[in-house]
Amino acid sequence: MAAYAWVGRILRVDLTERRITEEETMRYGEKYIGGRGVAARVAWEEMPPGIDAFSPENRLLFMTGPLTGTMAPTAGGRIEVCGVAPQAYPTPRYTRSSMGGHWGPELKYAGYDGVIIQGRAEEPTYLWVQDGEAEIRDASRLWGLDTFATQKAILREQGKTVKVVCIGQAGERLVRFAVIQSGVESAAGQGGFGAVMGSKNLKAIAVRGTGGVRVARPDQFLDVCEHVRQVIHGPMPEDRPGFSPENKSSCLACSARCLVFRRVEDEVVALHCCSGAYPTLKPEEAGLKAALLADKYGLNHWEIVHGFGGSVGGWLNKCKSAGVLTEDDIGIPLEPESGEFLCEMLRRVAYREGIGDIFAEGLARAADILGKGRELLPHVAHGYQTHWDGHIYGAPRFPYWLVSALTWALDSRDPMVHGYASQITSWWAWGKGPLTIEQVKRIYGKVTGCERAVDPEGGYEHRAQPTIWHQNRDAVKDSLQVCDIFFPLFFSRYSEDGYGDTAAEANLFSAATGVEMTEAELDMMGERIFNLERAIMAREGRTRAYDEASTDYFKKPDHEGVKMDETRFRALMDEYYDLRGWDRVTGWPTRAKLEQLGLRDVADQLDRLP
Amino acid sequence: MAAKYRVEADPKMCTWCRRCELVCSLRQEDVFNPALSRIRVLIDEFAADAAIDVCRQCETADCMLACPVEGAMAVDEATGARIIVEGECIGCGACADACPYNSENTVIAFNQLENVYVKCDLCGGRPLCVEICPSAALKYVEVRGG
Repeated sequence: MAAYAWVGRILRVDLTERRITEEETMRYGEKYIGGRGVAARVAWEEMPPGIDAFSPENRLLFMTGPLTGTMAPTAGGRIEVCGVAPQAYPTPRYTRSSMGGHWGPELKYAGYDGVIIQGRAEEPTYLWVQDGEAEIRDASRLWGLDTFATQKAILREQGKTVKVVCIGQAGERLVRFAVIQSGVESAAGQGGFGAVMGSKNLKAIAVRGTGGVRVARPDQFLDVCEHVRQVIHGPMPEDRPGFSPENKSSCLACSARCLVFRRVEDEVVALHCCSGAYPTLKPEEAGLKAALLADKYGLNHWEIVHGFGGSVGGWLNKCKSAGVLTEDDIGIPLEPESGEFLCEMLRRVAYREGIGDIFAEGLARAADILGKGRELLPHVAHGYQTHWDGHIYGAPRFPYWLVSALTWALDSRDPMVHGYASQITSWWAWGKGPLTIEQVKRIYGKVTGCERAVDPEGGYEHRAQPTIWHQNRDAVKDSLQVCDIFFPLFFSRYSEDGYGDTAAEANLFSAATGVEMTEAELDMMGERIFNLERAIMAREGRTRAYDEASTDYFKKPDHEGVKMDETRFRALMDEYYDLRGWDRVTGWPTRAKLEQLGLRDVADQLDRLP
Repeated sequence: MAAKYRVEADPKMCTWCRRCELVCSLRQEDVFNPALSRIRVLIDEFAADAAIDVCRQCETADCMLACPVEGAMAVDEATGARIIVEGECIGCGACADACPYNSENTVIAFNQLENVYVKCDLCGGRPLCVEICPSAALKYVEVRGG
């Protein structure tokens, strides 16, 4: 099985013992695919609850999937980063962050499907990996450098084709929203895993590989790739409205062209997604500079945009308007709409200087330390609101955000909900999108067997089914891995009936690995991964009570004044746990469900918990 | 024999997906391996720039002149491509050293497992890299006037 798609070995690096060993990927891959799935199994086996994010016991897991390094559209460059996350509030917990770019594939070309980092190095260190060999090296001359300078220094020494993940000054100082960065804009953003690297004295992992990734059925694989590309991007050459050759792709094998470059002070800064908020700061030049500094220090744009300023109305803007925070609290004039203010704040955070030391703990903890502004905080439960939850932006409307709320209730981080909420929003858009609601319903019915899962009139009916369907599929897509924005391919602009191809993941997997897998079988693998992650949460003390409390903010009215009906939502949660085969009271998977998924050992361990 | 065609690359149009590298190595070597691709996209993200290295099929080809083995390099009659002949190359690297555009072994690459050098052969007249490029950055063009 390991002859194709996977390259066969996972590297284990114990920084305390300075010991490097290897293990077989297929010990995990057969049941857990790759990426998020394999990481969950490693975490289950090796990371008992109670480990602090900054403890040497914490594992930092870099896991590619079987499609990483191949030509699978949107999939070639992706990798999952997992571990106990310091950003998680109020206590660190196991979660995940996914990253694109070119580092994951290079790791496979060097002969490894993943890297497990454990322990803590005594001195600043970096890991050098080249073609089946790894070495722990001295990084004293790299320590203190920003993420760009670190990468450039390694490239100068080792050549242009080397790929690097690294941390900046923020990660070194254990800033709880420090990212792991590769290139100018690819990053494992959520979770604060950059600070985990910092706690391990690990500045970077530099990789060069001259090997490759074989697929079982090359002709068929290329055909599937071309079909998938057509579903997403249409005829060749791709000449899509709104795109110019100035936009570049950030991931191997992908032509989505997410990167938009701007210049600031003789340097380039790449913007995409939420970092598009920076140029709205005044003056624009300083806003761009702040975006560049965030990349260089290695800070999470999401936390900055929501917390410090920008177009979506960050926490500091609100605190200022409400008179909750003033210059006296911050130590400098509080001007959240100013790019220069943001540059200075980011510098203080990255170096933990003055007020920056408090903000470096992340906004949720900063509000606690300051004892102010908690009620204005966009950070709720395990992450940031606003992402396709219908409560800050207008989309999606009720009842679709019920699926967002359920997804929130069950996750270990702020979920993206791209597959459901964002797709319905962009494709139907309440009569303004390219498809009609009848088309959307027909397609949903065909794929999931439940047309009413997308019924705008359905209220609280049929919301648990799509939540479960998407959670399982999301676990698959984070394990293969394919891009969260595009997959699953429900819809296409380039087919007559608007249907995309939701079997794409299974077809790519089968042709790549030679292991024939249907859509339903692959989703069962996703269900297994999701249940295993739930078992990890259960072991950490997660209960139904927490699930329910995490959706409190949905009780506030949305843009149309619709509030969550608590009684009906609680009934919806009952339905969810029942459909999952989980206990309604505890919210834990039952033995019967775990055994059905081949997780008897997990059930045995859960039985032993108090 | 005169050069007839070559792959022309426009780095400004390139959108950095590197699918050309992947399809080339898969078709030529049965593996996704950019290091064995006959075309390389060298992205410098920090300068928002990329260079594309692929054989220019020089009229006076230094690689061919340097090759010490009779029959190890030849010209494809249909396309004029300067090619390394499978089974004849002894892996000495004279061609790779002689090529003025090959400082990083990106135009003429070394296949360590097989101990041979590899370069673009224009796929017999239908270069897959050109077919697969989503942003029209690669073109299969006639060589004019030497």
